[in-house]
Amino acid sequence: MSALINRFGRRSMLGLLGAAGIGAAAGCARDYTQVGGSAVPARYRGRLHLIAWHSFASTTGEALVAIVDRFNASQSEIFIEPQYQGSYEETQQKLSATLIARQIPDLVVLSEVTWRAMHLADALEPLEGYFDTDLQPSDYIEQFITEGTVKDHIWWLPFARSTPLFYFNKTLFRKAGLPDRAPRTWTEFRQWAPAIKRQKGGGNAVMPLALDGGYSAWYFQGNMWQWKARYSDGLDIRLDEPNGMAAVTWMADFVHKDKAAYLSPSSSVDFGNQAASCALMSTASLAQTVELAKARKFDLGTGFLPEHETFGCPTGGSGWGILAHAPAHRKQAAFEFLKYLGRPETSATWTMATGYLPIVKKAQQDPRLVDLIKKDPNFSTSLDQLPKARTQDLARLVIPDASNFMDDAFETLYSSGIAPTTMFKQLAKKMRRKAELLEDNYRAHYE
Amino acid sequence: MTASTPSLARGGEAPTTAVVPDRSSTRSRRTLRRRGYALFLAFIAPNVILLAVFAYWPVVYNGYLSLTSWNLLSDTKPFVWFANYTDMFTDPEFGMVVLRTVIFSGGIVIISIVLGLLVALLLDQKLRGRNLVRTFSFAPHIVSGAAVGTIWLYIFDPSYGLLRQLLGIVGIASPAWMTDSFWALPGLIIVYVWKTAGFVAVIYLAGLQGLPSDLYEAARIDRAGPLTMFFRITLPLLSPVTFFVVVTSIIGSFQAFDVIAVMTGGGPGTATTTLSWYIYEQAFQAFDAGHAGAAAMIMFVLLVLITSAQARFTRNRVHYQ
Repeated sequence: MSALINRFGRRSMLGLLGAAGIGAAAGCARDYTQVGGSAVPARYRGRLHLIAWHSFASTTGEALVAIVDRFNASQSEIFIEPQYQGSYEETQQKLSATLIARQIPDLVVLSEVTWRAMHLADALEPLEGYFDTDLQPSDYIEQFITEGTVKDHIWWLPFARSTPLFYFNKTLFRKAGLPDRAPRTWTEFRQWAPAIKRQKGGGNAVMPLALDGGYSAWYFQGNMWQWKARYSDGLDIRLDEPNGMAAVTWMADFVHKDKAAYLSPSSSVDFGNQAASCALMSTASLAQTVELAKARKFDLGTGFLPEHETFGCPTGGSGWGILAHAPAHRKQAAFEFLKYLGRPETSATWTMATGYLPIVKKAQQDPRLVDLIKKDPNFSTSLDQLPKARTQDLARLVIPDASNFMDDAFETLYSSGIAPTTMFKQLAKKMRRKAELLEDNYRAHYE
Repeated sequence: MTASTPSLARGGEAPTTAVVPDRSSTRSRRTLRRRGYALFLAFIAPNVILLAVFAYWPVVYNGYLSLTSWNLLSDTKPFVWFANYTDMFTDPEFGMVVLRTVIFSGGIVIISIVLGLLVALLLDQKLRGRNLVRTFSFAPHIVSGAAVGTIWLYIFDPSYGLLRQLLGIVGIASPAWMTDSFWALPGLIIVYVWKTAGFVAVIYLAGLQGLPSDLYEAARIDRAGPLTMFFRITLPLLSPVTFFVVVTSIIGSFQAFDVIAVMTGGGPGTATTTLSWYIYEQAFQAFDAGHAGAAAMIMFVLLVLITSAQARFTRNRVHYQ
């Protein structure tokens, strides 16, 4: 039976590839049409119906839907239907499939990695011409709008932007006799590790640091910069230079020699269960982690990423793109929605509900946000860290599949006895090979 | 047919009638054959068309894709001949994927056949409650892979899992299973064996119950011990069953996907990236239809080779009664 199920799995996959092919072959002559949506509620009937694909589940998803509802109620021309499509990666998969079939949503949420692929595939609309007096590119926080701009065209507008943040369990730190703050440097953290490991959580020794496998290359981008190394300079792969080797060796030792960090199935679960005293997680986990800490009755602390030779912190998260193949009036209407998201009060609402960073400068002066920061200083940590955060090295963002196979490499490093230098050499080799294949397309779009 | 009747009725024209029915019966046979053929086509058409569209065409199209370099997005699919194949055959990572698949499949097939046969032998005894046990041992096989994966994630969890507590009783520290590059693959093999062994047992049990009792009586008269009887009578007579089970479980384990998707996603790193997961990863994470297609062709050829080799090897050894 399992053979049958499994065979079905393979068949249907092959079938999908086949169907995709037929779609592509048949589709060349056809125009793009809108993907399927649901029935428009009676009170919004007669409006222009736009479909927006997003990747936000649970509380974050509810926060987005609430904002969309308010947008729909705020005007009388446009009805936005938000459709949840799974993770950023799943959304990209589905978008690719629908593009082949010549069916598209009007708006789509793309991560800092996936928008680059869509841009390289010429699927995105340049947006700089849509701005007017209501919203100017300069209203956005500098790093965010710059990240979505290539060769003076704006392809991707910031929305759910984040950075990594250092989360720690203040209660455990107190018990271990440590200061009431995050470690300033990795060296300091290493000195603190033995004291943390003497604590017990659920019968086990508490681990100092839980590491996630997913997005591990994003987190490690910080470490690279902290060691004055980089993944790449443009498409020129640099991670196997001496500083990079030092950075990865330090982390491998921290995991395998000090046994102070480990690959966790889910660092947020382990952190919540107090099996780990610290975790590197996105700022977007803040609202949820605050609740988790309350429920588990421990004091939550947040801090900047630890430094080594210097400070380093990458930006991440997602933004919106408008599909280039949509008809002009739809694109115009879609931009109206993005303008609404760019209002300071919308941005502040979104930040308070989720922990994502504000995307426009003025949102930071929103009285509700100012109030929240006063009450819970954890919310100000990420805002204070933001000016020092910057766009990741391009290799992870543009080389196809790099974000996946780089994560794989770090997972292998954390979960096996592989020598860190070997791992980085292999990774660099693979990235160089893939970068070579990309070169023509990269030149055409970036130079 | 009707043409021959008047001539027969008239009579006396024997030589002509002898020729006419002959010719007409050839014609009628031809019509019959043609009609039979049409009927045959009509009956198999729905099946053949479905198979052709959903099974054979994708294989052919996949073969074509494997010779192109396509990112699933661009309108053009540049033809690259065998570049994808040479790429993979020179990539040590792909070699590891194949090796891993062999270990994974071999582990599952061997362990689940041994376990399944043992369980079948036990269930073949006339013991009370064996029907219940039979149901229990078959149940894992019909549970969906996603559910199995989720349950075993909890069992394996190194901090909160059931297995950790069981190992704790005998004083063994639980490995990190799914987040340890060494243990993840054995962990998956355990899960698949758990899922497959019951199925193997039920098939073997059917085989055992069909064995002729006179052979055993004769052996008993010759004072053969139970082990001799097992190795000289039971095992050889079960060889067609073994053949069936080996072929289906090799194919099944080569294509295993659901549990891997839920439990490890091919990780940590690439520690559980088997051929089927690799194909998925290349197609839908890396958007590299060429490499995915080539890997799928390699899997296809491997499975055809294994199956035909098995068929040839066992032709002389399989005893059909």
